Amino acid sequence: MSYKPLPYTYGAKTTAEINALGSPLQLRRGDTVFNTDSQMVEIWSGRLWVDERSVEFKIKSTVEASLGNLMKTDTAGLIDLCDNSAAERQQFCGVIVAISGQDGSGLGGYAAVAHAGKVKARAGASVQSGQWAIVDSTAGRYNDTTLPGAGCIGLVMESASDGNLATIALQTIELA
Amino acid sequence: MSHTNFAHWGKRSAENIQRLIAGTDYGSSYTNANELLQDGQLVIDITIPQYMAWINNTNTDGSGNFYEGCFMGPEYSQYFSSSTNFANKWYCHVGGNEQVNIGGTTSATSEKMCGISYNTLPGSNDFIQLKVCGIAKCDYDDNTASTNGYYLFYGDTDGKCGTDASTPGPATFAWVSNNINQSSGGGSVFLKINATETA
Repeated sequence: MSYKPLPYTYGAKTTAEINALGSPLQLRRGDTVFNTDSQMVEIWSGRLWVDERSVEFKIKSTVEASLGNLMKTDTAGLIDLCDNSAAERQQFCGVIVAISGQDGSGLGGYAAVAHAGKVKARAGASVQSGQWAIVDSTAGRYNDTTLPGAGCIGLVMESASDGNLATIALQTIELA
Repeated sequence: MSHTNFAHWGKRSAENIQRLIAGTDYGSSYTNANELLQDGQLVIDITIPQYMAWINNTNTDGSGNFYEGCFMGPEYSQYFSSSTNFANKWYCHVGGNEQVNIGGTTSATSEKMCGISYNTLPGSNDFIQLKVCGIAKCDYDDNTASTNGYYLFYGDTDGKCGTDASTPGPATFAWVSNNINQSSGGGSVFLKINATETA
């Protein structure tokens, strides 16, 4: 008789250890692991590890997305990079926290998109901790702003340079 | 035959979870060695029905009187706080990397609300678990009694919430979902977190 101290298929592991678990063919849909970096239970969807505050989406086949990109949904239910135009802000759905299945050119694939909480998002400029995070004019990225308003998605929790991943407190986007 | 213990720490109220975090019911040999709570262990919370998983921090406490960890769940985020940590208070970002402090009594802090503490730790300069979405319980202090459905912002005491209006305003961060535990401008309310203010 064996005893399993944690109720997850693969116990508690870091993100690096989870990524080294094996090829997707070795994992079974519904397998679970506790990620000590994200501090979330993650479930293998058959394509990628999806944590509890995320939803899996299919990325538009012409779009090159990566971790930390800000995404919007389209009328077909696919996701695309979101920019700061009013029309795109209305379709904002969250930030990519896991991605897989892109083609050889890095296009398309599937992504787990977080809708709230502490996430690593990709800065579109130099951003300062203590400011508000706002969707950037560069699609898929965020900028900071000293005053909250339309297009704000939360708070900048960590200073970062243009193009880097840094922590934001992701909240509901402000449309007004 | 294998045995999987789904919820290592069983069913507990918020108060009992707090005792677990503080090591109140266990000997110092467990707590000092940091051996009681381990990454990923689950507890079923019966105060706000949910399950939460324990997460240790990378910085462990040398004195070992508490764990510098938090029980976490899908609706929680963990941040560092230099102010004394209390349960059922709202917290705001204060600059610095991933740092929050207890909310003040001004619009400026209310606009930067990040979440509401639930089960948390007894000390300051520590990590704290904040509920960032969904339903939370927050202490209330305002001359105006709360009304279900009304929007909330800062109250008259640090970390406690108060009533703004029936419509969202620049510093509102939630609305009242149940005010049964509030009376005479005190007590607590259950609220639906919506940290997006209306500029």
